Amino acid sequence: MQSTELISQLFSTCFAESLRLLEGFEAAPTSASLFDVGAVAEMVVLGEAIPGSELLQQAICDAAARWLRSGILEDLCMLRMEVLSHAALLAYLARRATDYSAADIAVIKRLCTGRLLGRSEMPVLTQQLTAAYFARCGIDSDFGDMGSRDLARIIDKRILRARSDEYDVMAVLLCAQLLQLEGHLICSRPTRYPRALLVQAIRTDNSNWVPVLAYACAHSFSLDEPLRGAALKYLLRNLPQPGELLPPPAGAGIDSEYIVQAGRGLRIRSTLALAFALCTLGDTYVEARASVAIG
Amino acid sequence: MNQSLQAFVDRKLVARLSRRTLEWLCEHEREFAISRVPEDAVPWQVKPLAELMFLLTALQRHGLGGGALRRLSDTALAEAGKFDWHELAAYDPSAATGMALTADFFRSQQRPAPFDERFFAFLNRLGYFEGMDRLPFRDMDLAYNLSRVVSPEFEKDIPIWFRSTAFGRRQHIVRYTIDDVYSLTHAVFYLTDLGLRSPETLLDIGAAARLRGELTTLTAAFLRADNTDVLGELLLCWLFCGVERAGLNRVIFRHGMRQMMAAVVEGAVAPTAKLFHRAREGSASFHQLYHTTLVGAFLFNLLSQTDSYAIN
Repeated sequence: MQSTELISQLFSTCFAESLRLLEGFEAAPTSASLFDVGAVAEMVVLGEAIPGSELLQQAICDAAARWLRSGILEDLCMLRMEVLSHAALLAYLARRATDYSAADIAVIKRLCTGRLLGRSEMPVLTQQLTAAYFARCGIDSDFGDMGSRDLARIIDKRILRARSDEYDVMAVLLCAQLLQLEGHLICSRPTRYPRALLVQAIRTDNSNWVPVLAYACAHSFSLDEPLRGAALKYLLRNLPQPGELLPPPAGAGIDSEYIVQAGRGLRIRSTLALAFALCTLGDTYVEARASVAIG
Repeated sequence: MNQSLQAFVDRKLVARLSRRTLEWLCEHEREFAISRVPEDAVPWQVKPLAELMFLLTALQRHGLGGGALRRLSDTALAEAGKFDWHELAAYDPSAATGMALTADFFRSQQRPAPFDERFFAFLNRLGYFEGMDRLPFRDMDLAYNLSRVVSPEFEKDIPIWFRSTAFGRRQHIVRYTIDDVYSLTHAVFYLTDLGLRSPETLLDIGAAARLRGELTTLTAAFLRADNTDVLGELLLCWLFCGVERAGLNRVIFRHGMRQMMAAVVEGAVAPTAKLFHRAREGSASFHQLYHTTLVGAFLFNLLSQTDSYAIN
């Protein structure tokens, strides 16, 4: 089917671009490029159950295991505490590498146990997610009291803001990961804000955000039929050229103490989200519309 | 004999610097005005004025007054009175802390807040200010300021958030980043109500003892760093937590004070050696100097004019 071809093509592009990204990081590992890799890994982990991206998933998992073994991840974590949440995610993914062994995580585990990693000041949700990923890697250190936050309030009350930026998309993705890992422990799930942000992204023609938010809503929050249809229509009208990635978000390149993300990681993230969204937002509709779009 | 002579000289110098730093702030009072920076994420630069109001409220609550403080208060009242705080609040929920702090300052001057307090209360009731994943010490900041102007009920959140800070998470003493130290110093400000209550009021005895110990160690570490901004805040925490100044602690505190005094140039307190030289040449900007000068003015004025904190 054409839709399958389209999705396969998107996965191939993401795979090729991700390999370049991984090679680039391996050649010159920096905290900035780890944020790039982290942006892709966040989407990979949210789409782990979707068939078609296995090669990409395996490439990231294998690379993560190599970086754990070689000490690259702990070096970067010791240099900049802001990369810790991405390192925790990569450590989590590394467990699925073909040659992963429990010894690979031993140094990071000792650093966490010895309180040399994982204790710096971070927003509470980032603390929770980092601890959750590490716990699944066998790092059961007590990272201290993370307090209890009402996830729905933190996320949904953003709907009252007059503006949105990349931080908001990051918060939605962070929340989606927490729900995926610990959904059974979370009583109140956000619903309104991710959908509102999706509507805003469609209305402002933000082709980088729409696939990310559409997939995140479908996967972790909720997506009612009219919005699902509108998102899908938008996605099919804004497909990248074959072999190309979606453009970066407007105003990308945010550089602060807490976020250092370059455009490349965000472009792969969104193109991957596009493939995931096309796989999940109503099969028959996808098939029909995709045929029209690329016919 | 030598020690008491040195103590006398230090007291004189601190008293002179307390006046001189306030004079610098007065000389630059116009630069505390809220400026508009359209390219920034939040296009209004309210931080310098908010920090000035924070200092003025704190000094007044410690019973300090005088011509320079009156003049700075008048400037702050006029500047804050001109600004549309409602627009800022609607734009960004992080405005909550600055607005509460502003209301607190205006109250300390027997004035109504320069914004409709019902609007602020409405946003608070709506949960607008909660729609952020703040750093824990920023949540303490908000809880502290809300406890000052909305309801003392918010005070109970301060120790809860403190448990999620770097200190609360038992950050290893050798791994404190600069941000972690700022988190600690600010947390101490809120826990101790800027020295007006003991840390034991909101913390258990063990945590308060650990707090005093880590403050001492971090201050010793920062004696070797080129950062009088953090050092000054740490020394303020000694006063607020009542860290005993005997034995080795006395040496650490005295050396810290010497560094703070040595960093003063023309009334400004330079945060680094590089900026000290630039300030001496007249090429350092207001924005590079104002924060450390506020910290220095706070420290020198408390030490010289409040008996309970008196140096030596």
